[in-house]
Amino acid sequence: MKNIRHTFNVILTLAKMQVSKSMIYRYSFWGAFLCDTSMFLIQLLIFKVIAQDGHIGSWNVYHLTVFIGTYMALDGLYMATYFFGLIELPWKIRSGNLDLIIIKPVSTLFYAAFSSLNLGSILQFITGLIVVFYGAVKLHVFYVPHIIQFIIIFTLMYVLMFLLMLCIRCLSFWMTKINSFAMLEDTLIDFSFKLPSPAIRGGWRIVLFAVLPYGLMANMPSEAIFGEFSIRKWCLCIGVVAFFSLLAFVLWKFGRCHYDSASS
Amino acid sequence: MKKYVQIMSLEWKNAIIYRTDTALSALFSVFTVVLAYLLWSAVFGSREIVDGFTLPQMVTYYLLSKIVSPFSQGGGIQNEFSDEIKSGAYSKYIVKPISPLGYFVFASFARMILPVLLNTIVMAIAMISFPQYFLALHPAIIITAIPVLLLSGILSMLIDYLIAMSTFKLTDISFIYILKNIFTMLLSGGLIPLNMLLGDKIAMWSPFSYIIYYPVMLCMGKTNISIFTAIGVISVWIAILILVARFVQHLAPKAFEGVGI
Repeated sequence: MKNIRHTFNVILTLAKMQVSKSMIYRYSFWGAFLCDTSMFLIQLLIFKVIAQDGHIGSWNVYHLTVFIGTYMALDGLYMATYFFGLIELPWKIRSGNLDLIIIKPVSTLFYAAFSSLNLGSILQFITGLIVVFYGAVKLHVFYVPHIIQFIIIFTLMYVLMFLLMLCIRCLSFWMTKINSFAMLEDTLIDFSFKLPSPAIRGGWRIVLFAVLPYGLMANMPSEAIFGEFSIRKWCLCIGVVAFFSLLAFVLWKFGRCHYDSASS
Repeated sequence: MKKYVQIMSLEWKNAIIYRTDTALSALFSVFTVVLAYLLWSAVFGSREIVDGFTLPQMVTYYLLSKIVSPFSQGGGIQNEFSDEIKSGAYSKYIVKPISPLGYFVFASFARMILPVLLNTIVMAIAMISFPQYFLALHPAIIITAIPVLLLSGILSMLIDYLIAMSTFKLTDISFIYILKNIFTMLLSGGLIPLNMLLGDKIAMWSPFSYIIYYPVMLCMGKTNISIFTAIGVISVWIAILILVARFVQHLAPKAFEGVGI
């Protein structure tokens, strides 16, 4: 517990420093927010255009609004916290710079993941939540039990994204270049965040909901707020997160053992 | 001209060093077509036609737009160019007998052409393997689209060049590029066919329509605009952008001190 508090304090200090740093480059700070928000608004516009009779499968435009809002919020939250730290991990492993983290009196994994915060993305997270709120109110599903469900599933998906990113980056302990895996990850994230649940059918449901579970990310929290969340879906979400937690733990543990500093 | 051929040759050599990444990127582009198929099958439901497209036509639209999309996204050289302006390395264009615009256009073209060729190979394999999901295309019509594609590539490079040159005034322009890429994809029909977004009255005078939407519709035999009109419109836009680019190129060194910004 003391260790966690200590790591948390270190990350908080880093966050304060990074806010000061990002204020030096204010245009870039607001520019990134503008780019991300434009991208999501365009995606929303496209969904509105292609939903010919107001629907894609069983979802109407407000369902799609919640879906896009969830994607925005999740993307904003992980970009704000662990995204930039984790994408630097392969370089740190390859160059031996992980040594500088290992010798610090904090958790190596959490420091490596959370030391490159990008707090500008918090604005995107907040905007995403506002979009979710708007869609949910229009659908008349904005009830406390639904919101609680949404928060729990959203948190699970935030953790799942961390685990998936970590599993891929851990391969750097054994491989020199993991660009192809990172490219596959980018493609799958882009793919899944543009595909609402009613459009994922047949064998693709197994692929995108269980094997490479990127399809769960924005769909499951959205379905949770709609109130259409069966026990089966709870089991699916918890089961997938549990499996990838175990996998990430094993890969990180064995990877650390295999790590031999600058020559790895 | 020989020096520009040399620039292209060097760019290709660089691309071959990272051939695995380039090849995988082409391979993963198949996901765009799968995405389009899954999404649009849900939209079509039991309907045969949506906004003048059948499902195989729609999937083919996304397949072709993915092939030509590198023309709308540039080759990444704009960031290097911008960094050179910031660091002072832009001086090399002032002291050497090489035009910055010429260098930019030829290097960008070399970078764009390789992903287009690889995407074509991967997508052709997809079309031959699963013909039931796609519209049959006539090679003769595809060949007629090549001049339009080349011109639209030049148009896109000129827009990128002008944004790169704005580094002389704005120090950090990375987000301008991202915004440009997002809006170019939308306005050129890379995200959705433009007739669905703007109605049947396509913005015929918009330069962006000719980057993805027009060449793709031409290949599918679904456009009323003649190829000569299209070439005429793009040429006018290219001429205007070249004039602006040369004007900016003439002014830029006056603001440049050779030690970076």
